[in-house]
Amino acid sequence: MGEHVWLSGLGFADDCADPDRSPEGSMVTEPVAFTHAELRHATRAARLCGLAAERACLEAGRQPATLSTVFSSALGELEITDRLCTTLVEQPLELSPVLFHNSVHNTAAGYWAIAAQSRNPCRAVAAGPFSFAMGFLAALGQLRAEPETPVLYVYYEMTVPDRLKPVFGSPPARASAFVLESPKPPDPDRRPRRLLTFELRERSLGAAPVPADPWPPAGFGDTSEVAPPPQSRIFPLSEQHDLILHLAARNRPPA
Amino acid sequence: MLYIHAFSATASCGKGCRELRQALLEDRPGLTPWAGPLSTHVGAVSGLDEIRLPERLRHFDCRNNRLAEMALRLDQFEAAVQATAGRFGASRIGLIVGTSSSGIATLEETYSRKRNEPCDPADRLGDTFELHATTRYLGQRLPIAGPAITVSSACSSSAQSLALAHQWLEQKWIDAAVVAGIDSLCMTTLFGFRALNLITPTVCRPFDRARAGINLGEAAALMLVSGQPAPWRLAGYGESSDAYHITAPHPDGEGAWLAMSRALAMAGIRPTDIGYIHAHGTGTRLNDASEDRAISRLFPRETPVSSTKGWTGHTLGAAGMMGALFSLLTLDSGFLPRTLNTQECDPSLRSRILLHHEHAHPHYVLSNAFGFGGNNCALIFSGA
Repeated sequence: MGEHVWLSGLGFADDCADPDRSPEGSMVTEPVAFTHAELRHATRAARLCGLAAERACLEAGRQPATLSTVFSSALGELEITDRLCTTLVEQPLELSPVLFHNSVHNTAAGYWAIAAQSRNPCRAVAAGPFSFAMGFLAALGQLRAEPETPVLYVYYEMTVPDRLKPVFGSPPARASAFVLESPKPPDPDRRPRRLLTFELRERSLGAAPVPADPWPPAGFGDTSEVAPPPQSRIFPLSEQHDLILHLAARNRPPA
Repeated sequence: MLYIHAFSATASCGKGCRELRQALLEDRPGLTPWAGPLSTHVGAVSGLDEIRLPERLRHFDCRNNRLAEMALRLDQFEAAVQATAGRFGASRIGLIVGTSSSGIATLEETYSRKRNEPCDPADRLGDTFELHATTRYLGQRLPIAGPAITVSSACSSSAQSLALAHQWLEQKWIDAAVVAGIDSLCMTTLFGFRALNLITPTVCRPFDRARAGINLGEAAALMLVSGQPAPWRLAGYGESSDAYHITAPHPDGEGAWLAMSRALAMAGIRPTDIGYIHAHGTGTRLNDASEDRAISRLFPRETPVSSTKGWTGHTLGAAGMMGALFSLLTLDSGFLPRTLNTQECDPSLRSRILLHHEHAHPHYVLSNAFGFGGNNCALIFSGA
């Protein structure tokens, strides 16, 4: 049992930056959509997310402006926050407006909305170790509320600044993006896509959560021509709930 | 459908709904000159130093979590959640918390104390500074074991939280939820908004000819909601993006207009049905002009509009829920607050900005919250 949506696009991006280089020296490629003058101050996270999101939209054959978006990340713009708080301690009056507005959790989402020229709803969320699944649930809820508008879901984490590594570890910087659509609206193009079944399940009493690597495993949702076998995966959603995602083989929707 | 069963809040001008309502009625603002190095006024909540978290949760101790603790002790909120947990089971209660900066003050203090030394787990940053920390605190403090999420879309965070709760209730993923807006004062936002030239040295004067920026405030507002009928309900919500600028609102209020239009469409009502608009009304030149454009384009000239920022300051991530709470107080009492501190309305504005308190009995009240990233959220409340 479960509920169905289409997964019509998927995009990944990781940061090939030399870890010894400063955040300004990022090697992250510029997403094509990021050409607006307003985007010159976009953060590394915004560019990484933009890249993944753009790839997902391309695969889904959807104009970015037509999608609603949900961005999720446990730590968000931690690199910026670290620099901001360092400045606050040393020279608070020297704090730059860009450093400040780039520190908010919806920075990547905000730059994306501008780049995509999207007027649609746009949320930024976090849920600690459950951020991937909880953000996914938020995206599914948005899609259910407005079934006619596909939802772009972006999950990302950035490298943790050195002085915070003892607290937050040192995950690599990466972003993954998913375009989710309702099974309902007919698609004249009949683009290939995969049926995604999801289920919110309460864990039996006392059962431990599955080990929490929040990232989808390699190849999860792969929509390449050679369809991978169906896959199921359990993502911890809270101390007591799991989100179960099941991907059917890639297929063309019925006419 | 989302019904509101209980609500509670603490802000600089009052602790609990009764005090907040009296503060509005009697024109008692919570803004005071800031003792710090910037010349401005702030809406600081008194008594936080005396708040003690329960022993088992002491590791969560920080200003943001103390604010949350203070609010849940007011208005019999905790008892209401207990009763709801008894009815539906804790695992069917969700938790949705809107915050912009969470406990970033703890990171500021830690950096200040340690200078350039690395941080370590003993600094408890995961329980205080991390975005999800206050959500985890509330989840462990209250009998809530359903899905818990933090919404952090700057100043529209907690308005969006209520919209998200509505979606999850509709899907029956939860039976009830605690929805919160919580943000505490910190150097980050004080110096950050100063860097943007948006802090006023005096008190904020939303929509005034001489308005010169915002005052920052802190607040915690909590609501217990479910799909079961109760005296108030969220009749509609509307969200949009400006797709214009990362901090400045669209000059014509395009995004605000779209958010309010979507909220009206969802509620299935006409603009003339809205009896009062609780404006975002921060007191910056751009916000107020843009919001006025959107309101005057959509609503009839006689629709009363006011901002309560003169009482609380701009409470950032909590602003959406504070707006929701003031909207419910309006529905309940028929009291429409004026725009405090505002003496002469900006003649270029076209909305009917209330400069004096009024009495009316609106069936529908709309409340706005806008944030960085051009993120807009409008909420419409009504009696059940």
